[in-house]
Amino acid sequence: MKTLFAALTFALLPAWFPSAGAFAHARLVSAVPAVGATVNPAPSELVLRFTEAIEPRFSTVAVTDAAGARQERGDLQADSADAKTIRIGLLALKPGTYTVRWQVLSVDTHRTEGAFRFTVAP
Amino acid sequence: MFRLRSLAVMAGLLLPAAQAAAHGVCGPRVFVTTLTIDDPAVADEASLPTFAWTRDGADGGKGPTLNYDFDFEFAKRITPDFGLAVGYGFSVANQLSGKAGKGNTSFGWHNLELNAKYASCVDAVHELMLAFGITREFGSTGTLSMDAARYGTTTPTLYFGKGFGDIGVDALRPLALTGTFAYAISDVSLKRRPNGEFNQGAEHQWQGGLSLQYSLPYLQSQVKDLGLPEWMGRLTPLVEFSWSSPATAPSATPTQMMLAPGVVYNGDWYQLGIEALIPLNRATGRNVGVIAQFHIYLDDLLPNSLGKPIFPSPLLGR
Repeated sequence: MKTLFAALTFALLPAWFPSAGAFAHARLVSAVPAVGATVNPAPSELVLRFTEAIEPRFSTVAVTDAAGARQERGDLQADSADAKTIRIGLLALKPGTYTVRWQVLSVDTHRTEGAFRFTVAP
Repeated sequence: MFRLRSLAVMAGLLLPAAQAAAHGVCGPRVFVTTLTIDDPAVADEASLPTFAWTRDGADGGKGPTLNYDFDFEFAKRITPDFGLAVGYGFSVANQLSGKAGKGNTSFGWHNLELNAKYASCVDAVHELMLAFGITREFGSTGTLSMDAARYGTTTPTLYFGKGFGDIGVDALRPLALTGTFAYAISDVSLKRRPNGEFNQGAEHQWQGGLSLQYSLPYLQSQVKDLGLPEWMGRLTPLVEFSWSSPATAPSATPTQMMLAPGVVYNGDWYQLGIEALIPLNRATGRNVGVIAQFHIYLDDLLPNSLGKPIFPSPLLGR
């Protein structure tokens, strides 16, 4: 019984702080194209969805091909319907592997970064 | 006496009173807060609490004792790379049988511990963190009858963390290794009296530990989105190993080793962790225990007050 009580206590502890979730570091939840995915046809934009609202003016996203040439259009913007999602247009991507490097500032000023690849199939 | 004293010494090594723990963000890598060893980051955070359940032979009796340990820790950054942590806790020992009789329960406080840690290297590109620190256990601040040490101990410690994100094998990139290496210096050396009994000092000790972590958040966001449910994408399976051995003679505590496999769940501003405690030799124990932790990241929970350094400039002006 004591062990069960301890387990329940641990499981319910986060509920004691119900209003805290809005301040965390921004974690990448999903991307389109997806992390590590192979896609066809080539996407015209990259969409990144995070756990927190993002400040696009202080965030950067770079998309490079295998030769290191930049492939994004530079029009990074927040999604009009979801502040946790940012979008950036892409140039016409040829078949190959692309690297996405992102660095974002969440609205509570935490900065996070990451990188992943996706492939455009012939 | 020896059995419980051994467990108490091991608990002092393993449990969070010795942890400065941390919100170990290093570029794309997040080193999770480990439960049985300290991690390399300096951060604003709290463990409320870390709970451990172990079972072992009773002090002077034949029957088992169930030990419940509750440890609390609060860590505060003074500068972005230097922090202090204070840890305190208590134990409840329930002796099921033996000389003291079935159902006898005793309660006592652990010694108070203070840790100072300096993060000397945070290399985001190579996912490398290095830190050094010192932990002071204040003797006689706990309950002596529950095996809190009468005399204090000072423990200089090296910490490291290395993510494998820069190696070429995608499946191994979510792996990370963290560890500690320490030398515990007792205020009063252990000595054997003419009657053959030891005094209440302690031998100096080598102490250390490793954790091997496989981060599903890293896998999902950096390597390959497997389409896992979001809750599963927040898990980090890990295994921890901790060890201590006497560095001076005579010694009353032999080499002890513990393995702790488990899993950590990272919420947006908190972490839940649970691990099995598996003794690797007879001196450590004979029964498998459990450790669990509720850990709060104050930099996420209270980013404009307790969650930020008191002074914004790095200690050494990096």
